[in-house]
Amino acid sequence: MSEAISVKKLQTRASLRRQEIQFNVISIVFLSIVAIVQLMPFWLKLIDATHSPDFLPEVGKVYLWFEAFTLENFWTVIESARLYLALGVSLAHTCGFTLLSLCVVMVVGYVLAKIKFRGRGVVSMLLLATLMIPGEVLLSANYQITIFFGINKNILGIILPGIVNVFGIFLVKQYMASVPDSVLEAADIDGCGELKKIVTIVVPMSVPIIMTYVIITFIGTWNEYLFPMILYSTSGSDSLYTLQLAMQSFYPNFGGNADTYVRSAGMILITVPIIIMYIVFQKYILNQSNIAGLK
Amino acid sequence: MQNNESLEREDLAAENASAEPIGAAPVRGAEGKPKKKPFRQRYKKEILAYSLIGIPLIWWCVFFVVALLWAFATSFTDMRGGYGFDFVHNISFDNYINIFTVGSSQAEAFWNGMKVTVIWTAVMMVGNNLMGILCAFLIKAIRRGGKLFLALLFWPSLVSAVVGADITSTLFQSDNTGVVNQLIIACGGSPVAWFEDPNTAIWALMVVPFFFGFCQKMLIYYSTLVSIPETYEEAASLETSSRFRIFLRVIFPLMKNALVLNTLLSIIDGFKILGPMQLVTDGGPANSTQSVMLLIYKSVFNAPARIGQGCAYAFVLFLFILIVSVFQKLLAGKEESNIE
Repeated sequence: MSEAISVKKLQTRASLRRQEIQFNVISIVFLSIVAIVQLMPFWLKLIDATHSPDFLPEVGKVYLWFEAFTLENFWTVIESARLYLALGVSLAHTCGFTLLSLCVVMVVGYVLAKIKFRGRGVVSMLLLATLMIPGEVLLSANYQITIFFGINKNILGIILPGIVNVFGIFLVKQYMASVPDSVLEAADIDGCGELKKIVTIVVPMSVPIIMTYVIITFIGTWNEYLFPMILYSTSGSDSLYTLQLAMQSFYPNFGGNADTYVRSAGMILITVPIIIMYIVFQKYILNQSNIAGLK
Repeated sequence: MQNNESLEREDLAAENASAEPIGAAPVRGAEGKPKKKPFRQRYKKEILAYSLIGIPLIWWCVFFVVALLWAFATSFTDMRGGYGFDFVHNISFDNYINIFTVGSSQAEAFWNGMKVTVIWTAVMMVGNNLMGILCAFLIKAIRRGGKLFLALLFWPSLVSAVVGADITSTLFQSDNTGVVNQLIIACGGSPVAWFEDPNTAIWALMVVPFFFGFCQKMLIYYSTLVSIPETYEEAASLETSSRFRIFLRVIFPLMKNALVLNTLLSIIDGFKILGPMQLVTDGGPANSTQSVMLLIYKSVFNAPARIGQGCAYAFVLFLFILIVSVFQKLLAGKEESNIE
């Protein structure tokens, strides 16, 4: 029996190889097509953004390469949508939220993972329940609470409500469970306070998860538009518009082709920071096995 | 301090952490009767823990628990403009009754929204998961360039909803300047008014979120695939040379957890879809793209504000999400126990 099988194997080896190559080629072609379909819109946007304002596109023609090339639209959009202002707000919002929530997440995550206190299970359960409820249900209530605190015309209004990031807490907690107790006990014996322990021992040991959390939060906050829009468009504080809001409210301001060119330029501009983040921190973004495990 | 060695290790660590190690001596004497320990000693860990997480917990209570209760209370009122109970004239179940009364305008709007939301969720769930599994499988299977393709295919999921909506409106512009219409013309068809026709609007809206949204699923499937030991596949390849059969019979059953997780995520994300509709069509034409979330958003924040009604919609929607996720959890738990 075994001889027959091995002979058969020898005979089919060549055809197997051919199959293998065929399979690889077809797969790569398919994946390339998907990648191109995903890239195409952005390429078209880029082409659009570099048309000069008085360029009239021919009807029924898709431009795949630069025509009437100019960078003027980028300056126009920065001026007219006041993107420099929005950039400042966006940076303050994103960095402020990421840093503050990181502090909260580290402390709470550490306490839940490493201190065995009465009520730990209850606190964890309550926090976990948050993940079940879509934040959108709370939109109007959160909006009213920010008005109650008087922070609705303030950058704090979009930073403070989400600071206790439950998803982040459990992400960090799960990772911190792997920090060995013996190290922490040794620190105890040396008379180290809890906060000092977190800063000097736990943080250096959880750098990977901190990076993952910071990057995910940064990108998520950068792209956030719903709550800031509700808060600022209803209170009329358009000097506090983030980049997303500045671009979103930009829709009806111009007419004709120049409008679409300028808008495309703005869209490219607000996407570039995310793409740079992605290229630099790819390793952390694509290594999401820890996140998948959590959910 | 040497005497302390008789204590449990944990106690030792805890007591040394306190600012006054000499104070440990009388406690040691009362070791057998912990009730005599002073309060501060007995609840040391609790005091420590709650002093650290106290402020975050209060914060969470304000922006989550209070907000939830507030929204729930609001859903029983006829709160319209203004914010606060000063504006409330009537407290009743009317908002909920309206949703389930056949023929009322609220019921019509809500169930129309549910229809749009369910169509959206179903298409996205099936499409994204199939595409995600396929791409993850191919990326894992090809000899070279897997990492490159993973990186290339994933990045669109990081693009913001505003940019996605802008791309949708560029691609599907109704006149012949839209890219899709130009392609149709090039193929000899006649241009379609995508966002003016109630039948095509929702499908046109779906295309970009579909292509930008399956990446997240793909990544989860990919990390699951990578974590499956190679040996299974090698063992199976002795039996058959068809990769797809190996995948279907051996690998796919091992991915059940990822599948359940991704389905759940798709459903939760789908039920709260709002971005594309709000940014591109604003619910039109003829409410054919008005999802429940957009309806809620409009009733709370648009001009004739009906905050109470909006909150009632939100809680009915939340109930649906809850039922689906509990059902899903039960299903997942059952299957897991079956496998083991």
